[in-house]
Amino acid sequence: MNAAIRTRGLRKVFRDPERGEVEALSGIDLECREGEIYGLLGPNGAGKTTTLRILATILAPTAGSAEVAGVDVAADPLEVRRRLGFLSASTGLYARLTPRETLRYFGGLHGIDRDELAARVEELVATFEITAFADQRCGGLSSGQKQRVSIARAVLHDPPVLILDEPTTGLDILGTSDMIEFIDARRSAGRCILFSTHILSEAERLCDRIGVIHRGRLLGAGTLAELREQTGRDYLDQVFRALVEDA
Amino acid sequence: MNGNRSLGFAVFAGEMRRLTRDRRAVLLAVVLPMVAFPLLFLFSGKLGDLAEESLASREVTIALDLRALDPADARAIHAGLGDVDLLVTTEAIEVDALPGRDAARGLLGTTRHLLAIARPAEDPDEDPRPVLHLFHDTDELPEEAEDRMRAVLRDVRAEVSEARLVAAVGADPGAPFQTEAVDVASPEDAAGRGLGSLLPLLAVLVLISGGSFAALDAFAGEREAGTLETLLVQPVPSGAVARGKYGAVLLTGVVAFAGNALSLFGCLVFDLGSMPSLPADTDWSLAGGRLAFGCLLFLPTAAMICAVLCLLSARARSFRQGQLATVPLSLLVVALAAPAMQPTADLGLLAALVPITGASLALRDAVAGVFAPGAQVAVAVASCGWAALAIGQLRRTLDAERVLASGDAEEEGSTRRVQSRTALRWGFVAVLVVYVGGGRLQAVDPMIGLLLTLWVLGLGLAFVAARGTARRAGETLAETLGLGTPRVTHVAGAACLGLGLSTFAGMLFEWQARMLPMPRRLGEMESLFAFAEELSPFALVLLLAVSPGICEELLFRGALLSGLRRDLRPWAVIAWQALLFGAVHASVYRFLPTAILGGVLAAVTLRARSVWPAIVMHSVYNTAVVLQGIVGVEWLGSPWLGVLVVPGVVLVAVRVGRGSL
Repeated sequence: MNAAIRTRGLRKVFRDPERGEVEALSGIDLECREGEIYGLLGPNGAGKTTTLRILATILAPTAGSAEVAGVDVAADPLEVRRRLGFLSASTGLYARLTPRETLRYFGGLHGIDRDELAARVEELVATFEITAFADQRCGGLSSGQKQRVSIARAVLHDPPVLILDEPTTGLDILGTSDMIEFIDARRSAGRCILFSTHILSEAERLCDRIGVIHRGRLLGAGTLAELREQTGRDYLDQVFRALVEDA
Repeated sequence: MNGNRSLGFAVFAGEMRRLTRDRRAVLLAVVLPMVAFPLLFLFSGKLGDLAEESLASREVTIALDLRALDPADARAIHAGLGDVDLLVTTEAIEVDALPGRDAARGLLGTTRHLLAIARPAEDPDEDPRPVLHLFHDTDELPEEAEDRMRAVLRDVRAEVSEARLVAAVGADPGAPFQTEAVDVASPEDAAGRGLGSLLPLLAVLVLISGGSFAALDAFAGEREAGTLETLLVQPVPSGAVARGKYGAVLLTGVVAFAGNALSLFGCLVFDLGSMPSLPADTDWSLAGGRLAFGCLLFLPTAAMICAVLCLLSARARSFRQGQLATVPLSLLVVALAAPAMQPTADLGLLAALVPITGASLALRDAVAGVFAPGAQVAVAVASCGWAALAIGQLRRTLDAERVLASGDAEEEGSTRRVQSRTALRWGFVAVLVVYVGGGRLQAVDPMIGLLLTLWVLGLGLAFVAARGTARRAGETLAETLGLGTPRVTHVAGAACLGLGLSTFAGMLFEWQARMLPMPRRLGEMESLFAFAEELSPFALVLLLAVSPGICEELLFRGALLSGLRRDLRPWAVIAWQALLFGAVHASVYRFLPTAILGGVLAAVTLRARSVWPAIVMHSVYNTAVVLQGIVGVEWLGSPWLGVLVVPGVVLVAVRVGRGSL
């Protein structure tokens, strides 16, 4: 399988007015393949969000390189954005637009042809069971309904790569279940999904491969079996602890 | 490029769709600007009528002693007073026996509003002295009584003079020298002058009120809602996003401005309201053309103001922070537009280059029918330049990393910002308390009231505000108030700055007097403290220089600055300090000098990390102003003292290690 996401020596330094230079990433080497779910596992402040934001072209790397679907994030960020869908826990929706208008708006920003967009919007509305509230304003939707609209928005242009930053944070049980189903379905469609989480059970259940990140460094990466072998532990929480303690 | 244009338009269309669905945006950008004038005319007319009726229907009591006048003249005055609604008592008042103001107040008591006393000449060869008016200006009735008495005396004087002249020489020899003024200006010119002096100020106010909500919603609001991040990961260049959002803000601001101007125009054309300088037979089509030309000249400035609103909003971490930032911007913009209200302020080349001021003067002149192509072209070019600069800066600001990078620190930051938010609240409380409480106290007794305002209200607020900051920061009250030992260099520098800046204050007052002249009555009230003549220079310095130096500094540069500086950048601390310190002095005519002084004092305190240099600087500054203005020490007005600012800045700029503030 080809690498859909690849980073080499990815480094990010923030300049904080009070703390001076803060190194958020210290040379991350990451590789995610097509048709694969890759889970980035780490505690709060480990560098997960920074990594994903660099891949989504929101942040510029201080050093190193990153490619998404074969395109360098620093060289052609607009092309990278055309090839990825991005969703984070803090993603919001325009309260005064309806789900249908939201999808049309973002479809327009992706330059999708009007007729094609209309068909695509109806397809997504049906796929994500949005029909019943497709013409209500987003501000009045429940959190689960909003989540479905956000997911539809992220895959509107059918991107080969999907980056999800802690996608289940703040969701109830049904919302979490919907999200997990969605991620699984994207893999079946041959897409690459990179998602960050600190919930071990999600990673254990979904991920083909897992990367453990701590204090800006990738401490280990591989399938669960490979990580078990590397650390000599059986359960993911023990694997995680062993990698962090050895660092 | 075409693709970017269509993407920018897509963002613009999305913004407009959301804005038109927001009730607050529609209210601020369409409804309020459209109804403001009709409501203003309606209520100001009604209130004015009511106030006039109310005042005219109230009786005032004037005690007269006209024994020193010719009986015929006294009768004429009585006859004149009979035309107005007065309660007049005629009695003997021995003015020469009055030892001072206290005795006069005693004579007035609570039932009389005015004592009018005619005084004979001190020497038989000299003219009689003017009629003495004694009143205690506690409310509008003594003022009303004084106005009525003055009017009667003016009429009687004119009649008596003319009658005696005619009796003496058979005809009035002054008749050929009298004037009869006829304004030959066209109604459009007269209308334009009236409208032109108002429009620039209205334009900037409406632009800010209409555009600020759109800007806050488009940038700070989106950031808070989490939609900005989504937008910035779409395949749309940040320039196109900035253009689209900015276009929506500009359109909203222009709609607000146009709606407001049209509603004003409509009110005048259809006679819904009137303005003093607008004749009834105005040709409104010509005036409308001039208005359109003026608005066209003002358009680049509208574009710049909207870009600055977007800039502030894009840099704000939240909607609320953006709202706070628009307050000082509004004051600054109003200050820059204010010269257009002054007929004496001319549109020269230098003024044309000043943002907002140049365009405001050009708008005023265009509406008044004054065409100065050179200056107007300069305004258009300079305004376009300023607008382009602001728009370019906006595009750079809307960089995803800049907008979102600090997001991870938001939670920590919001906890820390409690200190500055609380300090600002205390600042506004202080302004209100000084307005209301201090104003009342000083109305009862100026000197005691001033002392109580400073030492009780000021210090009380300082200690209460500082106690909360100290508790949250885990430090002592003295540390929060900045009472640590300062460096000698900082104290010496502050003293030099205080003395040096006092000379610039004089120049600033002179400049302001030209641009925004103080009304005569207010000037008389503010120019001298009534009790000053009863005090020695030493007591004056203690009361008007040292007391404010200690109390105001402990409140503003001690308690409030201590809270502000923990969360805000130095420039923001200085700006807020300037605003609050200017506001607490409760006079638009003193706002600029006091705001500048407040900003400089804040900068000195931030640098010195102690409040003592600010206390010294403020005391020295006030001492110089008091000794020069009240005691008359002339050498303190020498411009050469301004040179002391240089060593002052150098000494204050000396690096300091750990301080206590």
